[in-house]
Amino acid sequence: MENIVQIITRVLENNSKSLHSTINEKSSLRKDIGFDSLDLAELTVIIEEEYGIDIFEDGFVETVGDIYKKVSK
Amino acid sequence: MRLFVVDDAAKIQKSYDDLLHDINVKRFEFFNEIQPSNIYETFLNLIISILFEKEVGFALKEEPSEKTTNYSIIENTYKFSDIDSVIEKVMQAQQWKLILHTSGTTGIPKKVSHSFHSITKNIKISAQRSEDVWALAFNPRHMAGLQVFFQAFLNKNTLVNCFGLPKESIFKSIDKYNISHFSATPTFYKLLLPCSEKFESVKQITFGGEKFSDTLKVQLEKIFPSAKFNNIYASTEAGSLFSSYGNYFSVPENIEQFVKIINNELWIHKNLLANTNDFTLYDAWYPTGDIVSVISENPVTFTFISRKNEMINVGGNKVNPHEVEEVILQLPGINDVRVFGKSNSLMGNVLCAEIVSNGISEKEIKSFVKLQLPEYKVPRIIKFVSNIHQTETGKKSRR
Repeated sequence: MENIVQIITRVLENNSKSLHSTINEKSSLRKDIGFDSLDLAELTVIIEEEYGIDIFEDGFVETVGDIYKKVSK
Repeated sequence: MRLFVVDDAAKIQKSYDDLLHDINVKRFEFFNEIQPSNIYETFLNLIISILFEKEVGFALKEEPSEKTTNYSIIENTYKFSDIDSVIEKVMQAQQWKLILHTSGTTGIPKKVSHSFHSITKNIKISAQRSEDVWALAFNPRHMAGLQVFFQAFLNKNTLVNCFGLPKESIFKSIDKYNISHFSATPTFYKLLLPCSEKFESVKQITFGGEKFSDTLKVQLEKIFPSAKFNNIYASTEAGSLFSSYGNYFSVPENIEQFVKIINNELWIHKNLLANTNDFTLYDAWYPTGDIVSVISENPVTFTFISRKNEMINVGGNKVNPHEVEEVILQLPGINDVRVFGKSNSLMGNVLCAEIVSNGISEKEIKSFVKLQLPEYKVPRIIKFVSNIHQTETGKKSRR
């Protein structure tokens, strides 16, 4: 979970976006964290490189917890 | 004693006297598929094939070289007194055929057959060119390298191999042999940067194979202050067709009727193409896959935008990697960049960049690009590398 948060923070940082609330499992990637589709695509590539899992391969991912569930399967 | 080819890295130095001597031997081992070997052997075999009007091609690297299948002995009855009579005989070739394969960046390599006329139609021969010294900066087994070979050989010039060499060796060769002419891909020239030296002997710099970049030209003008710059449009299918002194190509009057532009794509009539059955023609016209933008009519003048298959689709938006590369190159501290697409389940493709730089951050690059281009054209995945991968023809790989 901690690593996922780190990746999310890194994507925000690299794209000069700031975070307005703390990240937890229930944080919505779009609404709370403010990701757009390009940010999500970038996130997907990084997670795939680290975990070998394409989080958008089979449907939709809404929250940070959804990602965590997929990578810890 | 005039040098014919030199390749310092391979310790080869052959003069025109050596060439004449090797052509005048009584018996040749002749390959109708020229094996990967040193450049002298390659060009010697090529010249012999023309002199004896034998069809010739280049063995593909992947194939094991089976001497027995493509090897024969020629009994030589010619005796040439000097190299001028060799060149004269070469120029009279009628039946000779050269089989080439397109580089296959667009798919399966296609076989094309060239005659002496079709491959040399844009070679310029004159007394003023007799002292030129050419750098060979293309693969000698491909169309562009062959153009350079014929340009040098038919003018009895020296050809200095620079293909695939580190820049320090290239700079050394320029000084040692007084190289006056370069023809290479933009990627080749980019690999010469950064450079604080100046080389006055270089009189002409030709770009080909990839999109020409003004940023690069400005940088090269500092290294080669005496050079004229020009740009050439050539392909394995058609040989060299248009040249220009900048980014604008004009279609010469004599081939005007064989060139047309449909939906910004350049189409070429079969009259300008090599003989082949491998192309799909549409009413005798061949779509080149080169995307151009027409600047003016009469004569038709255009600028090369990209290869059709190089456009990267990011969430339905087409991204031209050259455009993004140009922007990134404007940043100080960037030595080279390759922009490409990586397939992605969310967006179709994610834009990626490999960057050779000294100490600039991912964040700085992204914010800089974002100031000049829409969001979808900003590379999302940035990797810092020590050099950029190239294809066999010296072009940047787009995959």
